[in-house]
Parts: sequence; C-alpha cells; structure tokens
Amino acid sequence: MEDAVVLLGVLSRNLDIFRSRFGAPANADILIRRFQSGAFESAIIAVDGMVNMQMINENILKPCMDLPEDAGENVPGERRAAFLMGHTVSVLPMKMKDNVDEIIADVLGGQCALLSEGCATACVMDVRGFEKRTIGRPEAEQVVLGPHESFNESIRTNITLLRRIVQREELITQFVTAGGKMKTRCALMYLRGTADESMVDKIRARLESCTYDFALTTGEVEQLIEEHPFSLLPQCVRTERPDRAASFLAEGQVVVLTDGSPAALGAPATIYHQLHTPDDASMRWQYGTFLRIVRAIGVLIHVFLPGLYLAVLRFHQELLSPMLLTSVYESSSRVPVPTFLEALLMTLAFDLINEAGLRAPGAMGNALGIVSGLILGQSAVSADIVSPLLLIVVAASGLGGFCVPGYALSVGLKIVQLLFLVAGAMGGLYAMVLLLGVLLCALCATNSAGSPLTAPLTPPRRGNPDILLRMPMKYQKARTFFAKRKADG
Amino acid sequence: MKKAALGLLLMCCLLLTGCGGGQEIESCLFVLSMAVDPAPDGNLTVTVKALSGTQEAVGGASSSGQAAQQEGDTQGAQPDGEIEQPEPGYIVMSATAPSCLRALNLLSSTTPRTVNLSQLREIVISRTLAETDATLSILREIHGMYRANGGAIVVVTPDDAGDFIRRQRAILGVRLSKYLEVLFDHFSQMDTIPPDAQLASVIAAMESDTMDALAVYAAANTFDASLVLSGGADMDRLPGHLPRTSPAENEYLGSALFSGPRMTGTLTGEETGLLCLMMGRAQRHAAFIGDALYRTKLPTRVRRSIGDDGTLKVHIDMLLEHVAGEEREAAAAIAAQIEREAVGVLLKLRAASCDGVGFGRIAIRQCIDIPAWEAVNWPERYETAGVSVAADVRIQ
Amino acid sequence: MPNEKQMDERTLGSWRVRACAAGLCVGAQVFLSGCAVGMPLALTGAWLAAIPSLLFAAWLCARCRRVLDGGLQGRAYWVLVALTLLGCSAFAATSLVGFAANTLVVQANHAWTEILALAAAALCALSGGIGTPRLSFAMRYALPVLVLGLSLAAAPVRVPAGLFPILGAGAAKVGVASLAMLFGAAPVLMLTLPPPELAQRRAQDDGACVPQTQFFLVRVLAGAGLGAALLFLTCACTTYEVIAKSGEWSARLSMTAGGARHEGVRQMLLMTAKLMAMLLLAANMLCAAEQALVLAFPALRRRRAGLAILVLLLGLSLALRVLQGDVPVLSSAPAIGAAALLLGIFAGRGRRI
Repeated sequence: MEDAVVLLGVLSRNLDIFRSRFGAPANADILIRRFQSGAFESAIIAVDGMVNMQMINENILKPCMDLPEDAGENVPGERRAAFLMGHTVSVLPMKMKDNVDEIIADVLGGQCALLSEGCATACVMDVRGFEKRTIGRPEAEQVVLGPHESFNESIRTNITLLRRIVQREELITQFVTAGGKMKTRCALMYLRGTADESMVDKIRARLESCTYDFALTTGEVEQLIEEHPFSLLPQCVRTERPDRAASFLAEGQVVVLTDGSPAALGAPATIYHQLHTPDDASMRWQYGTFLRIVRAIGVLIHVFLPGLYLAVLRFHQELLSPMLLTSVYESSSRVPVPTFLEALLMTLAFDLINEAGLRAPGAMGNALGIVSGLILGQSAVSADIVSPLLLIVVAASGLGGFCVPGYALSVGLKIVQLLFLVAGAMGGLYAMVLLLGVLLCALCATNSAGSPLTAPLTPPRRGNPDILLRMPMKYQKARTFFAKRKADG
Repeated sequence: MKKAALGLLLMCCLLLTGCGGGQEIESCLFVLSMAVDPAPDGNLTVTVKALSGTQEAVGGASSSGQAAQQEGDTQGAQPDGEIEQPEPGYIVMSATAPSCLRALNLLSSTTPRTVNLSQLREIVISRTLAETDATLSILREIHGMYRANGGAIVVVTPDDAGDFIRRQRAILGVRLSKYLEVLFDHFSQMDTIPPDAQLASVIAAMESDTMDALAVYAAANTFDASLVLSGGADMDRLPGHLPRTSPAENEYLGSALFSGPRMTGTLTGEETGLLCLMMGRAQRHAAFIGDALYRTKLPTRVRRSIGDDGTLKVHIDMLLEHVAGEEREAAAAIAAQIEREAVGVLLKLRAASCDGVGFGRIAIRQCIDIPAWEAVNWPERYETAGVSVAADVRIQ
Repeated sequence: MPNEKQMDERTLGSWRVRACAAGLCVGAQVFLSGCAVGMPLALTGAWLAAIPSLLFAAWLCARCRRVLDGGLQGRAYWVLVALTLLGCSAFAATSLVGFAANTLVVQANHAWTEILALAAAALCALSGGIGTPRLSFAMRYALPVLVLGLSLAAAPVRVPAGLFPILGAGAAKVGVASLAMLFGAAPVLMLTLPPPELAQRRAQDDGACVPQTQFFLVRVLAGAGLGAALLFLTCACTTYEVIAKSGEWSARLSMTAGGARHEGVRQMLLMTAKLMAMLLLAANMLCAAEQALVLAFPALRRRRAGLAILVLLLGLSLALRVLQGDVPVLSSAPAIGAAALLLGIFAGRGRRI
C-alpha cells in the first residue's frame, strides 16, 4: 500500500503537486489562483463550473486580499490556514485536511481548497455551485394524494429534502465514498437508536469495499448491497420520493443516497415494501386496504394468468366450461401456430411495445402504444394468427403488471411470468405447482442486509399490521423488526 | 457446486420438456354425448356426439349407424365409422366393437383426433342393454378412461340410444353442452329425475351393498301414441308419454331402477319426486295437490329407520303454505295420500330389488365391522322387509 | 426452564418455524401413510388406525426435546435419523409422483414426472434448510384450510357413506394398520435438529435457546390431527367397496367424496394444495436429512456434498419404485422403529450413541 501523500509547508511545491495531478494548465477546468492574504501568500484551487464563483469572490478572495499587510505576521506557518478560517473567510462548511488525495477528491466534488505559505494543512470549503435539476415530480411513483416532490441528482439537495421531513437530532448522515479510481459519494442516513448499527456498519463496509472504476448509480449501489445477486427479485426498495424514504427511516431502515442519482435505497427491505405505495398510507385504511388487494390481484394475474391459460388449454381442458371450450376450440382450429408459440409471441410483442414506448421520445411514445395495440392486436386476430382469448389474457396480464409499484420488481416478475408460462405449457399445473414451491422456497431463504425478505410473515417477527391489510393508524405502533428494540421491551 | 447442480437439474428438465403429455386443444375430439346400444353377436355400438370445431355443417347425408351395422357380418371390431349430419358445430360418429373401450379406440383410430371425455355430459344406454349385467362393466370402462367426466349423467332409454343422441338439439340457447347442463340441473330441482345419477355415483352404488343405483329415464315423445299411462298427477307418467308438444323430442322424466348392475324397473316422474322426498334430497319447494298449489315453508324433515322387526320406515314432516288454486283437501287427507303414494313407491322399489332410498346405509350402522355387515346378507333381507310411511302435514 | 416470552424474538421465531414445519410434515405423512397402508388394510377404518400414530408423534416430540437438551448425539444416531428422514422424503416424493401421474399429468412420461419431482425437491433443499421450513410456516393455515375446506365442501351433507361400520375391516386389521402407520410420525425426528440459522448455538451451551416441550407438542399434534382429519373425511365419504377396488395407492390419494373426478376448479384447487403439501414434506425431510448427515460427517458440509448424496439416493429410490411406492415405506419402517427405540432408551439418560 502506498504511503499517503501529504501537503508540504511550501506553497509553491504544494501547488506543483496539484498542477501535476490535475494536469494543469493543459486541463483548462482547473482554477489555481495565488494571492496575498495579509503578511503571507495563499492560493485557492477549484474546478470551474463546479463552484459558486460569487461565494468564492466575496467570502474568500476579497476578505483575504483586503487584509492589512501585517495581518498574520506573527502567526506560525502551520497555523496560518486556521488564522484565515478564524478571522477572514466566511464560509460555514469547512474542514482542515492535509491528505492530497482527499483534497483532490473534494475539489473534484465541487469544493475549493485554500492553501497558505508555510502551512501543511489546507482548508477545504463547501462552495458548490454547479447547475442541477430543480425539484420536480416523481416520474415512476406518481400518487393521487400525498406529496409530489422527488429527489434529484444532487446528494445535498436530497439530504435536505429528507431533513425537512425528519427533523430529529437522531438523524445521522454518514458519507461514504465507493469505487476505485472514480469515486462516487454516497450518504448513509439512519436514525440513531432506531436503526441497528450493525446493519449500518455492514452496508458501509460493502460500499467501501467496492473497487469499480466507474461512476456508480443507485442501481449499482443496490447491487453492491444485496446479498443474493442471483435472486430474481430485488432485495432493496428504491424510491424517488422523500416522504417514502422518510418512512423507511422511521421503520429503522438505512437510506442510501448516491450523488448523481435521483433515487434513494432503503435497506433492509421486505417484499411487502416493494408492493406498497405512499397512497396506501395517505388514504383511510379502508381505501388503502382495498387498493392493496386490487394490486395483489393484479400481481397474481400478471404472474400466473398466461401460464394458467396454457396449462388449462394443453393439459386440463376439463376446467373449461363447455361454452368457453367451444369458443376456444373453434378459434384455436383456425390459428396456424401452436398455442405455446402463440402465447410466447404475444407476450414478447407486449413487452416490445412496452419497451419501445419507454424509449421512444415524447409524444411518439404515447402514440406508439395505441397504434401498436390496434395494429398488432386487431390485425393478428383478423388474420387468425392469434386467438382473441389469448389476446385478452395477455392484455389482462399486462395490466396486472402495471399495478406493480416498482419498476425493478415489475421486470423481475415479468421473468417469473415467463418461467410460469414455460412451466404451464410443458407440464401443466403439475409443473407450475412445483415451480411455485421452488420459487417460494428461494424467496423465503433470501435476505436483505441480513433480514429475511419475507418477514414478518415468515419467519415471524414483530411488525405493524401493514402487510396486505392496512389496519387503522392506532394499531400501527410497533417498530418493525429492523429496528432496535426499545429498552422497555 | 450449487450452480453446477442447478444447471444440471435445469438441463434435465428442459431436455425432457417434450415428455409432459400436453396436447393442443384442436387435436382432441371433445365428446358431449355418448350412446351405447347392443349390436348383433354380442357387440356394442357406441355413438358419440362431439364438437366439430366449426360452425359449418359437417359431412354429407348418410344412412344411420344401425343400417350400416346390419350390412356387416363381422366377428369382432367393425370399421363402422359412419359420419352423420347433426346440427352445425357438432359431429356424430358411431363404431361397433365387442366392448365400449374397443369401440372408442376404433373411433380414435379412424378419426384424426384423440377422444376426450372430459366434457361428457350424458351417457345414454338402451334399456335392452341396461337390463343385462353388462351395464356396470360398460360404465366402468368409460369411467376408467383418461379424463372421463365422472359427473356425466347416466340415462336409460327404451329407444335406440344412438338415435336418441342424434335427435338431441339445443332448442334453447346456442350450445348443446350448456343446454344439457341446464336441463339436468333444472329437472333435478323439479325432482323429476333422480339425484346421484352421475357416472361416478352410479358406479359406486352399483358396486355397493348398501344402496342401489338410479339413473335418469328418457325417451322420445310419442304424443300421438294410443297408449297413454293414466296417473293421478300430470307428471305421473313415463317419458315419451307426456301430453305436450315441443321441438325437443327427447323427454327426461322418471328413474331407471337398478339392482346391482342390472336394470329392474322404472319410476314415473311423480314417483321419482316422492323417492327424492324419502331420500331427503327433495329440492322442489312447490307442489300441486289436487288443484291447489302449495309451497313448503320449512325444509321437509325426513327420518328413515328400520324397525326391530325389520320394517322399513319413513317418517315425513312437512309444513305447507297454500299459495294458489282452490283448496279442496285437508291436511290429514293430504298426509294420507302422501303415505299411500310413498308406500307404493317403496313397494315398487322392493319389487325391483332396488334399495334406492338407502335403507342399507341405515342397516349398516348396526354392524360393528364389514365382515359383520356382509354376514347380514342385506339384499335378501330387503326383499322380504315390510314398509311403512308416516306423514305429518300441516298447512298454513 | 425459561419460557418462550423470555427468549429472543429471532430465536423464538426460528423455533416456531421449525415446529410448524414439523407439524405440517407429520400431518401430510399421516395422511399419506393412511392412503398407502391404512386404507388397503382397514378400509374405511383407516382413520381409526391413525390415532396411535398421533400418540406416537407426541411421545417422539417429548423425546426430541430431551435430545436437544442433552446436546449432540453420536455419529450412529445422526446417520439413523438421516436415513429415516430420507425414507420420509422418498415416501413423499413417490406419493407426489404417483398422485400427479394419476390426476394432473396422466399422459406424461413417467420418468419425466419423477425427474421434475426430484428436481423440485432438490431445488427447494438448496435453500439450506431455511427457505423450506419458512414456506411451510407461511402456509401453516392456508394449506390445511384449503385442503380440509375443499374436502368438506365436496363431502355430502347427509351422513357420509363410509362412516359405518365404525371399525371398517375389523379390529384386527385396524390394529395391524395402526402399527404400519406409525411411520406417519417419523417427520417429528426433524425436531432433534436445531434450525440451521441457530446452528451456532448448541442446546447444551444455552438452555434458554430451546422452548418447552409443550411448544412443540401443540404444533405437532395440530398438524397430525389435521392429517388424521383429512384421512377421516376421505374414509367417511367413500364406501368400503370403492376403497377395496381402488387398486393403486395413487388412486386412493386422489379420492374425494363420492369418488367424483374432475369436478372442475374446486377439485383442481384441492389437487394442487395436496401436491404442494407433498412437495413441502419431501423437501423438508431432505433438508433435515442433510443436516443430520452433516452432523454425522462434517466433511460433507463442503460443497453441499451431503445433499448431493441424498438426492442421488432419492433418485435411486424413485427409479426402483417397483412395489407401487411401498419400497420406501417398508425400508423406512424398521428405521423408524429403531430410531424411536434408541431415542427412548438413550435420550432420556443423556447417553451418546
């Protein structure tokens, strides 16, 4: 391991180190300005476009340059940076550092470093002022009732959004840098005394052990945290809503924010977290429960209906009512492709339309869905390529898929749907039941940051009555099993 | 190791995906009705009515299956797959062979489809065949087939069973299968056909010592026939003799009584209603007594017992409400009439050696185990037992 | 001894999962053994023959608790337990295959049906004995309600046809059937093994880790009782003649009231629920057998070699199913007898074997 490079007591040599590391003056973004600050010389290093120039000019440069010529004359060299911080510079977030790598990482992040002659310590000040997106509405988690703010790409803004909601002194923010040469700044937020610190340490350790050399997004951070990379379903819950992230904190979860990503991760999570929406809590318990039941039915239809359709048609025709059987029999007689291929093609077509609608820009995306549905669906039925009943099955299944709140979970469930489709076509209900058993066993054995994904249902843990039925607020008192137990039990 | 094991298991499953036995739906021949008739030389003619998968009329006109059989002088299976002209959407085929299974196998072999009995709604057996011991083996063969619907209704007809199902039309609604389903449900609710006439139940009853089987009795309507059974009630007739006209020639009314595997008698529609009452399975809540319409206010309570002297006793407790019509008879008279008619039904059942009411299931309670029950020799005791019916009728 | 309220939530939760899984397995095994040997021998009296296996399960439950208290037994003991549990798994897998072949996939290639069942049991067991008991715990109400409820719905409202005569084929045959059906209590042996997630702890180090005997007894008896209740429903609603003529074991497994076949959605739901119960039994027993084998030979923990051996043996058992599924029953019956004897003699005295 290389020894850490630290600052020297000579300003010019320090500046040479930084010029060499940044590639200045060839690297035109790097600003290095020397100036006289009283009795000694100082310099400021910053990245153009990342800093608030007005703040630097008015709060750092001007006050320093306005110092009398004898100011700081008797200040020892090693204390000159502290002298400037204490008497001249009026910027609040400030740290004293001597490690060159850390100073460079901070400067690249939008802070500026103030060095002084004779001082082997630099003042690193948070003067970030880069352009960022304003707080907008959530794109993927729209609700009818409830707040409409969402996170954006600035980690500081996101932290602020959370702190506005959770105004508690126990709310702790720990910054972690993840990555190898290209580091990404992440923030771990949790409530001290509520969250399990061992869980926090585990998550932090996983992030710090990351050595990837590219900018991490929330999705990649999630893949670093999760324990079962081969599991079909996600093990963390992702949200772009501050109110939802605040509810994670209250339950004892750790919220991970990533600089550059407009989403927060909550861990550990359960599978039920991924099926809940903020609307459930915003509304009265009867409405919330009703919507959850509808959503659960939608998920079941999405996962099982195509497989069941094939299973019944190929293996268990006795389940069909006689009238339905006659209709299916007549329509199937005209379709030239086998039922399994027909179902696979239609499911694939639906996914293609879905994906194309997401990627097509703007208004084209909306029109694409309508035209594709009309042309593909109507024409396919008219040409006797697919049967009308299958079209209804695929459409109903697709609608059920749209009920899934999280995009990641919906993709995972889509894969599960395909597995059941194949199982139903190849082995009927027998294969489907065996596959269901296998997948459920795997799900029950999956952990999220050390906690079972299917808890508190199994294994039994204390929790609020808030899994499928959302009971009235007065029954929701208990901390979830993520959290530390209170001293009184 | 875990990944290797997973991979190996998945490979095994995928490589054998063709072995699941799944079939495309259009590769099946869904049989809705099946008829079994005796054929010369101990053979059986099996006629099936199945979905054709098209709304167009199928096939050309041809002679009936029976005429074709008479032309042959074969031993064993006859390649007799005549295709008839039924209503659009259905196809009628028949085959002759020494057994039901072989006939169905012949149909499968000569039709490019697999015979599928999962949608079977009725099995019609001609009375000539039902009065032999062959009925049980025929029904067992059908039930033993893969996917045979155990809920199919067993029907006995004095006519040619094949012609019976050829005549079958969905005169109400569109689909014959739905028509038959609603038909049996409705008549069951009217108590004009016996309960438990499903294939599985009939087989279980035929094999049981504690109860005998009952099947639905049906025939083509011959209203113009000179012989009309006289009866006290309108429904106290056998099928085919109802004074009515309808596009549906086939009439389902009354019961075919079995003693073991053999048919031994019939009950009219009215008698079947009384039988349902005594079995405790009556669903009809309204009844005509004389010229008045009565409705049962509370479920009729029926107690069946066997006296110490072996008398078969039935006690009926009814609460009736007069709804319409002119009341001419008092409750006591109605009770006496019910008792008379019920005793008549029990005597008829006894004469036919058919324990349709299920007194055997009451007698078996007195035995501690099966060997003790088998020592009782219930069929003999039943034939010599006395009968007694007591009815308490109250009218509000 | 400390009671359950004083135990850590996670520890208690793990024991609850284990106990409920054992209860579900015992219930399924009681029903399967009733169909396999009880009904052919005692006919409609098979449900009576199930009662001694409930008592035997209760006795085994109490003995298992002592084993947990007394700490780990010797190698021979764990091998015996592993073989017995493997026998239970083979029994369940065989019944699963036969049941499916008789109902859901009649026209399928038999080897394919067996391979799928084996693959499913092995994949469930890959979760390391954690996922399968948890799934059983999650279904502890749903499965019994489905199976019993649907069976009740199919039962006639009048006096069931098979209820009388009470003793079925006679007292002697009921007695013989009850001896043969003692095998139904074998899954209780999984309670001698602590839950895998608590594997770090040994009962002898910390007695507070293991709940009281009643904790297990209630759950095991509830499961066994449900299995016996299902057996009662099946026997009571089917005449003895139908049972006597049923022939194959798989035909008796799929019996419902009146023997009606393909009643539609209701019947299909019942069949899938039974199938799931059999799969859970097979997988739970396989997981527990692996755990016992690894306790006997710790080297087998590496690369899950123990599981691989057991799956191979299970596959062999399915392939050698020459006696209509009775081979695993017959081979395991002596094992359960020996295990019970050893448990009874040694567990109470704390001696290692």
